[in-house]
Formats: sequence, structure tokens, C-alpha cells
Amino acid sequence: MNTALPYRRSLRTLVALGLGAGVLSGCSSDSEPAASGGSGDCSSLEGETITIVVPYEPGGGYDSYTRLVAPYIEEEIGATIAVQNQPGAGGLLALNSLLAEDADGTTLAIMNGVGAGGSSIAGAEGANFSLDDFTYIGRVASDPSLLVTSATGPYQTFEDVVAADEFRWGSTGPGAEDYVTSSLISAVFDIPGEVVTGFPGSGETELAVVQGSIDGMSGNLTSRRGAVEDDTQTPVLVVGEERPDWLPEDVPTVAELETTEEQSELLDAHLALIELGRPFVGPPGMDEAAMSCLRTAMAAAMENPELVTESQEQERELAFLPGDELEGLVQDLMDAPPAYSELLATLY
Amino acid sequence: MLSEAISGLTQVFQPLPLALMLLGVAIGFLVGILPGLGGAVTLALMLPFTFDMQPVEAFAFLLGMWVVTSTTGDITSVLFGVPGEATSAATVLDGHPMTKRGEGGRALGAVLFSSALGAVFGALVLALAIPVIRPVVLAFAPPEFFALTMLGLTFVVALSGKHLLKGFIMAAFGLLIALVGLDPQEGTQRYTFEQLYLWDGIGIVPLVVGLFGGAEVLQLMLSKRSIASADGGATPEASLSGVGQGIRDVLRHWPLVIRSSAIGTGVGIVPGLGGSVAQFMAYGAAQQSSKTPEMFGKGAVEGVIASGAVNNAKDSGSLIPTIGFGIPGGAGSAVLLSAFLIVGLNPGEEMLTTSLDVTFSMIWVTVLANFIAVAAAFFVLKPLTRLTFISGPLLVPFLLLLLALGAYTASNSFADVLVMIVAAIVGVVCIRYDWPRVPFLLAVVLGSLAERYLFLSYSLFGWDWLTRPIVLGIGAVMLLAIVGPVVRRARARSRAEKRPEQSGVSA
Repeated sequence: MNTALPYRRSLRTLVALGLGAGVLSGCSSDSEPAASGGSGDCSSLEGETITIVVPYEPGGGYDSYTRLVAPYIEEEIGATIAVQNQPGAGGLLALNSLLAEDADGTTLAIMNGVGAGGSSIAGAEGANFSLDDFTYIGRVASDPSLLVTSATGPYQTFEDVVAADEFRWGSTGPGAEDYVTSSLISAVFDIPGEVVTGFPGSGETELAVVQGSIDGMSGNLTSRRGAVEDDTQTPVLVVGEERPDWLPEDVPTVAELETTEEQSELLDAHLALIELGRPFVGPPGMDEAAMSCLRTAMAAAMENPELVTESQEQERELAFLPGDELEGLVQDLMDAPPAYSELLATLY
Repeated sequence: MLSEAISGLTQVFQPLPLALMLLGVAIGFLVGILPGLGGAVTLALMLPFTFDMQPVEAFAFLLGMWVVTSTTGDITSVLFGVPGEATSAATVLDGHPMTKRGEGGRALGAVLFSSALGAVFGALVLALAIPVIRPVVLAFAPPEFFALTMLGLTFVVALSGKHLLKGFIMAAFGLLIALVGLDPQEGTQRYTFEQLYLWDGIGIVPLVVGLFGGAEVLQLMLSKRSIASADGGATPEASLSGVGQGIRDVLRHWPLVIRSSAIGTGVGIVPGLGGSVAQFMAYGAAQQSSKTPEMFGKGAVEGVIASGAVNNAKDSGSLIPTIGFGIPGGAGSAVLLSAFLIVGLNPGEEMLTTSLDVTFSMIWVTVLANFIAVAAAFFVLKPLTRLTFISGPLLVPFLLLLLALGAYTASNSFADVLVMIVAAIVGVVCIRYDWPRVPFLLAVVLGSLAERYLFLSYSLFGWDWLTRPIVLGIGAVMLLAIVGPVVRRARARSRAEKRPEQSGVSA
């Protein structure tokens, strides 16, 4: 919750608005040239324009995160960063075209780990890349999911869900995060039921959960917060590593469930995919100097206290993970048991 | 509740929120006039600027900007026949013919004044809905959405004018276009020809810009004259003197304003349907209830009034589910939802109780911003109207640039420009051979929605969805909408037979 901000700060915004309003573009017009570029060698990128492609429409989570972080990286490198929206084919369009971009560090994209990464592992149509093709700069945010049920329905815990005779999930459609996670959990825990597909967006799926015409759904963890605190949706399972402090203690994470070895193998692989989260990625085989510059600059930017406060105010939690660690995660995913990719292949 | 309403108003009238609202109105004004760059996209681009703001300041800025885009989008539609927003396409149909006749001032007066009234109506409904907001939103599920899309499709009958068969053929063609893309249930590819661009179907924005704007510009290019033809003795001055006339037209047709606003608010509440549908539903209803339906599409002021009012009323409508449950009613309110989180508000119960004053400040902003924009618009009418007297060859390059930009900004893809060009050619052919364009567009927009909601309704409720009360109610309205004109026509015919000397008018 926002406490009252000083009047002065708002006034500063007004001035910034006046400056930026005419431009109508994402790049800020009043950024100062950076004094130093950190330890990475940024000579090749200094003064250049770096484009970060967002594979979705403006206004969504990926767009907001990118626009939130971009100015701070800009400051570190001394380059101009332009955020460009290139929606299409569930985010695959932009990633496919990233493959062919110059690998000099001037074009990056933010990736949807579960959506795009999952498509690639599943060998789904439309994903013309392998996860290890890209150059990983760093993760902006992790992307855990929360399973919720209707607050007025019969299933108020994950045990209820597992014991259900027929549990109906709601989803936008095959390949979407909500479809993949709920189907995967259903398959792993042998929950009978079906996934009702065709909802135009997570808003409408939520509405159906609140109305009780479906039993539950999977969705982005932080986006569920309002509904959970409003008591219209009951949280039952965190599909991620950590439980945030606004969730009741008795809502388990996947790791806290009792599982057989076979189950945990599948769940671990899926958690790795979720861990991939929302990284900035570049074209394959990026120029060494540019890559180390971008990695260093991003690492420094993500620690900037101003960015940290700003992200907290917006309830957009950051979870930085350096590029080399992301490479490790991708390697784990490439080595995942074949049962996992076979299961995924049925979900895209 | 009254004290919160007053508190909301006083909070808007602080210096900073007021200044921010004016700034928002100014940005929205320009964005609305320029085709393509829509309200939702601009909201998203402006979102980062609200990071430091207080709730009322942020909403004064964002809402002020957003609600104004649909008002000024109509100006471009009327003057140049290029829809300033995807939601201003219906305004082209009658507003632009009026401009060509030298009545641009009257059309602008009518569309702007009815926009302002529509905004007031929508805001009033939003305010009155506050106590019942949650049950209202909960009453709407996919079956109701499906019934509404079907209601929209029945207006194809009205919108085809006297060429009913041509209208149905165009609608069928539109339904085929709506099939392109991934199917909503299984994600199966349909007519995508290995093109990732086609996965999401044919974009509505480039389609609207091409079908209406592109076609008008191509015609202007061929005619080599100015938009407002001088053969009627029209001059900029004469055209402008019609502004007052336009305002009087609105007052004279006040039931039409209310009905169109009600349609806008109603459709706005429903997530997914959106403004591109609402405008044609209001337009179709206006044509059906008009005494001179044959004038529609040729410059009927009623068509202009209906499309003005509906646009601004729908914005308030789409705020209802956003405020009540945090479920956006459209693309614009989806972006606004992020703004709620940024300023630290939780949509839902909180907005209706502890933060009720903020909710009211939002309602006030929608009204105030619209009035300011309309007043400002009246000041720039003169130079803008003059533009329509510039000779075609001079104006065309500029308009072509607007068209290309308008299509391209939809998703930053050149494929969108291609779609726009093809749509423009289709539009010219339609005008040349007198085939109605609106049933086609309506079918494209509604076709995919109808399919989606039909299958969802069945997966959720089996066949029981047919017996839901609201579905039955909408069904009854549909029946009236189809049977009504037939009965009226039959009655008119029998009257004409009795008194043959008076025939000809009602044909």
C-alpha cells in the first residue's frame, strides 16, 4: 500500500511528463549520459540505441517490467534504450525474428519462460528456436504460478482438489501458461477432470472462477494477490519455489507436497522452466564484449536502490538471476527426463 | 455516498490533479485525432509516468487522456473519412458524407455535443451502479456474452439498408475472415498459410482504417477535388455556421442520445465485446428506429449523433467490472488495471468502500475531461474544417501517411499495412458497386467472439445456458429487432395499397 508521497516528487513527475509527452515513445528523453559503464566493456554500445522487444501488447506484465527496468540499464551503459512492442503468435513471432538479428547487443527481447520456453521443449509448431540458442543477459522477474479455486466452491485446499471426482480448470487455450500448469498438475497428481478452454483472457477466466462456473485456474502469482485478499478466490498451491508473505502459511508450495520420485522428477523439471521466468535474451552467439557489458550493466541496474523502491511501489517484484546462471538452468532443462518433454508435447 | 461524491470532486479540483488532467486531455486530444495510435496503447506508454503519483492524480491524468481519445477520434472520421480510432468507424458512415455536402460543421457540432452527453450518461450509470456493481458483473457469463454478440449480428439486417441479400453475403464473407487464425478452443491453425502473423487473425485496426479511411482517400485521389465539393456553393464559413445547427439536432434527438448511450454503457460492461462493436449496435438501432432509414450512410445526422454518444458512454461502462472486480472490460481498462496496482489500490470491495472517493473522482474526471475536450475542439474546428477545402492532390499524401502509420502502429508489423491496403481496395470496390461494408466488418469482429462464447457456454453449462434469464431476455429483443421492421414494412405496404397516392415515402 502506498503511503503519502511528498508533494515535491509529484511535481517532478509533472515536469518529466511535460518533457516526455511530446515524444510518445518509451525511451526517456531526460536520461543523463552515464559517467561510467561499470566493469564491462561498453565502448561498442555507448551512444548506440538498444532495442528491447516486448513480444506482447503494451500495458501487460512483460511490457511494464521492461519499461520499469530499461531506464536503469540505459543509465549504466550510456546508451538509449527503446522498448518496442511486437505482439504475435503468443510471443513466438518476436523470438523467432530475434534469431536473425545482429548479435552486436543492440537488439534484445524479454522472454516468456513457460510460454516460449515450454513451446520449444515440447517441439510445438511456431517455435523455431531451441532454448539454448539465445544469449542470456539476466532474469528480470521469476514467474511462479498460483492455483486458485472458487471461494464459494467445494474445493478449499489442494487436498480437496486432488480428491475431487471431477475438477474443472479454466484456461485461455493450449500452450498458454494457465493451460500448461493446470494440465501438468492434473497429470502428475492424477486429478480427474477437464480444462475448459477458450477464455479470451485471464480476466474472464477469473470471472468464471468467482462465479463458480469453473472450479479453479492457474495464474500469475502476484496478479492473484488482489483477489486473494478480497476473498473471492481461494489460494491452494504455489507452483514455484517460494511462498510470498501475503499468502496464508497453510498454502503449500509444490516442494512441500509429498510426492513419489516419478512425480518429483516431472515437478522439478517444470519448476526449472518456471525459474527461467522472464529473462532478457539476445540473438545466438552474441559478441563477447557486448554480452559482458549487458550482463554487468543489468546486474548493476537491478541493484539500484531507486529501481528496487520503484518496483516495490508498483508491486512488481524483481528477481534478478545472472545470465550465466540462466544458462545453467537452460542446460538442466535440456537434460530433463524425456517423460517431461513428452508430457509437455501433449499440452502445446 | 454523497459525501464521497463531493470529496471526489474536490480532490479532482486540486491544482495538481487538475493540471495533470489538462495535460492528459491535451495528449488524448492529439492521439484521438491521429488514426491508429489508440487510447489503450497511449495509456500503456504513459503508465510509467504515474509511478510517483497519488491515486487521484494518476487517474486524472490517465482517464482524462483515455476518455478524450474517443471524442476527438470522431473529428478525423467526420472531416477526412479516416477513423481516428477503431471505435470511430461508424462516425465515418454519415459524418463524412455530410462533410462532402459542405455540412462538416453541423456534423462536428452534433458528434461532439452528443459525445459530451454520452459521457455524462455513462458516468451517471457508473455512479448509480456502485451499490449493485458486484451482482451486476456476476450476472454476466459467456452465455450472456454470446447472446449479446448474436444481438449485434442481427443488426446486420438493419445495417444492410435495402440490399438485404448483399448484406447477408457481406456478413458471410466477414464470418469467413473471422475464421483466420488459431481457433479459440484447441489452438488449431485455420487458414494461416504458415504465416505466424495470421495466428492472431486479421487485425481489426488495419481492417477498419483501410476499409473506411483507405477507401475514402483512394476515392479522393481519383476525384482530384477537395473533400468538401464546391458545387453546392459550400464555403468554410457556411460549413462552420452549421455547428449550432448540429447542437440543436442533438437536443431534438435526445431519446436517440439516451438509447445510444445506454447501448454503449451496456456493451462496455461486457468484457471482450468492446467499442468496435458497440458503435455499430448503436448505429444499427438508430437506423432501425429512424423515420428516414434510407438516409443512413448518405449523411443522416442521426447516425452521427448515435455514434458520438455510444463511444463515450462505453468507457464508463468498461470501468464497472474493472472497479468492481479488477476484471477489465476492454483493452483500455486492462491498462488502467495496472495503474490501480501502481498507485496501490486494490480493485474490488475496497474501491466501493474505503476508497469510494477515488472511484467518484474517476467518475468526475470522465465527465470533466470530456467537457474540456469538446470545448477545446470547438475552438479548433475552424482550421480543421478549412483543411477539407484543400484540393485533393495536396491533401492526399498527408492522409496516406496517416493511414500507413495508423495501420503500422497496431502491432508494429508491415503485415498490418498490407492488410490495410487490401482492405482499402475492398472498400473502394464496395463503394463503387454499392455493397455494404458494415455487415462485413461487424461479422469479422463478432464472428470470432460468437464462436468463442458459444463453445465456452456449452463447455460450462451444457445446453442449460439457453434457459438463463438474461439470455432469454436478449433473445426476445433480437426477435423484436428482426420482426419489427418486417411488420412495419408490411403495415406500410398495406397502408400504401389503401392510399396509393401517398406511396413512395415508406419504400
